[in-house]
Amino acid sequence: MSSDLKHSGGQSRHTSGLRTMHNELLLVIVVTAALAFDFTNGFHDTANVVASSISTRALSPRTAIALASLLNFAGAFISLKVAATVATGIVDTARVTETIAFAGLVGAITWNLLTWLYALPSSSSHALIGGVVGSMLAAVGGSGVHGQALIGKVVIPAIISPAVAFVGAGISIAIIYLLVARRRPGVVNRSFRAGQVISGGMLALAHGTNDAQKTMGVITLALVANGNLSANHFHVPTWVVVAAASAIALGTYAGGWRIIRTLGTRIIKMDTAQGFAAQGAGAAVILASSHFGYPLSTTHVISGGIMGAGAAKRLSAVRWGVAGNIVLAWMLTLPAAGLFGAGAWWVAHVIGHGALGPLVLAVLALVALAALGIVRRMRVAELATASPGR
Amino acid sequence: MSAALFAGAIVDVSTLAKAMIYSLVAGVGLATAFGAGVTCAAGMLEAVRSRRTGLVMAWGIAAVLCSAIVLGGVAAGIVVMIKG
Repeated sequence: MSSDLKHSGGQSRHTSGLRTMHNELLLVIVVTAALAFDFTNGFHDTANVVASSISTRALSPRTAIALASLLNFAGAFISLKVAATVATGIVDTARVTETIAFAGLVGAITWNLLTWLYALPSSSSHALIGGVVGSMLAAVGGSGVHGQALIGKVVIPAIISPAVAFVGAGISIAIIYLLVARRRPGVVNRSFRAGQVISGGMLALAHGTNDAQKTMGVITLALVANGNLSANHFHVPTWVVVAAASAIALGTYAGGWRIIRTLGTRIIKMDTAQGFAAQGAGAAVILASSHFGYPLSTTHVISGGIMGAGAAKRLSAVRWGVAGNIVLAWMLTLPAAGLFGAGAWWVAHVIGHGALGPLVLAVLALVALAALGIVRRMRVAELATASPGR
Repeated sequence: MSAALFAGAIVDVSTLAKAMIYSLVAGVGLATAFGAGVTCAAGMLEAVRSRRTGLVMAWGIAAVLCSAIVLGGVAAGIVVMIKG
């Protein structure tokens, strides 16, 4: 009898130890995926942050990218309100599991990679929120998602914010042109070039503030699910802030070198005053929204600012086709990333409980990533063969 | 109309309006102050060329004031955000 009890106690300890090991492994997988997502976010968005500073020659590419990386890092420490919205405002934190958080990340990364492959303008932020909501819906159902908060804190601000940046940049550039109309263009250009160091810096800071916090929110969700943090008391550990800040800063720096090579082909032609107005309006919208905890698409806000600065000078200067693509991508991103998030949760759930499902899913995702890379290379090679002169 | 009422019921209109107003005031305000600073600095340079000392002083002081408003505004914005 006593030997049976001892045996049963040992087995229980063994099962509990195995479960703890599974949970810790799962947490490592989720945190790694979240930081990988943060890195790709910085990598994608470098162009938005530094493009106007480089195109107007306000800063050299090397300086612009180094400054943007540094300020992205610093920006992540400014506020935690967006992280709080992502971690506690959109889904029921107490019902989130690590598998749900991981599936959400896989959904977001999948959508980001597909849009990258087909060169569609997409928002990493909306993809992340869509992915997490989709996996939560698949796992728990509608009761796990705060629908009103999703609309009130994500969807409506997402529609309004690019419009505010558009109007802000438009009014700014109109006033600036009035103020400097009778001054020598050389002096004006030099001054706004210097001003772009400030506005570009603020934009990088704003980007780090809003975007790094979304990753912090997802990691916090995973920590709550693992029992490391309480669901009732929102708190982001310092290591999470430092890790998210480092990942987005490194991504920005890595993405920047790609921009240097493609410089001059993708950047919209703007004068220094327009660049200043667009960056200033974008930074103001992102910083003010971060202060109130709204997780925005920084890509869409910056695009809105650039279009506003262009439209105020000449309506035809704006590529309205690009604007249409942005609207289309915005409409598709939340539901599409949600579907991928739900699919990822289902796959992980079918494969097995514990760390096994997410582990297999992570391997599948890496294989898919490699396949996408090969397809991309083949497409580039095909394009090069079709138009050798370009 | 009903869509607007529905949106109004689920959105914290006051917070959203604050975010929009702060964005516009900060963005347009600082851009205007910087633009005014640029025109003052350019005016100062023109006054230097035409050797009008009084005008140089006036444009110079205005340019410094505008620069102080821009830098002060940026610093104040960051401080407000850090304090939460």
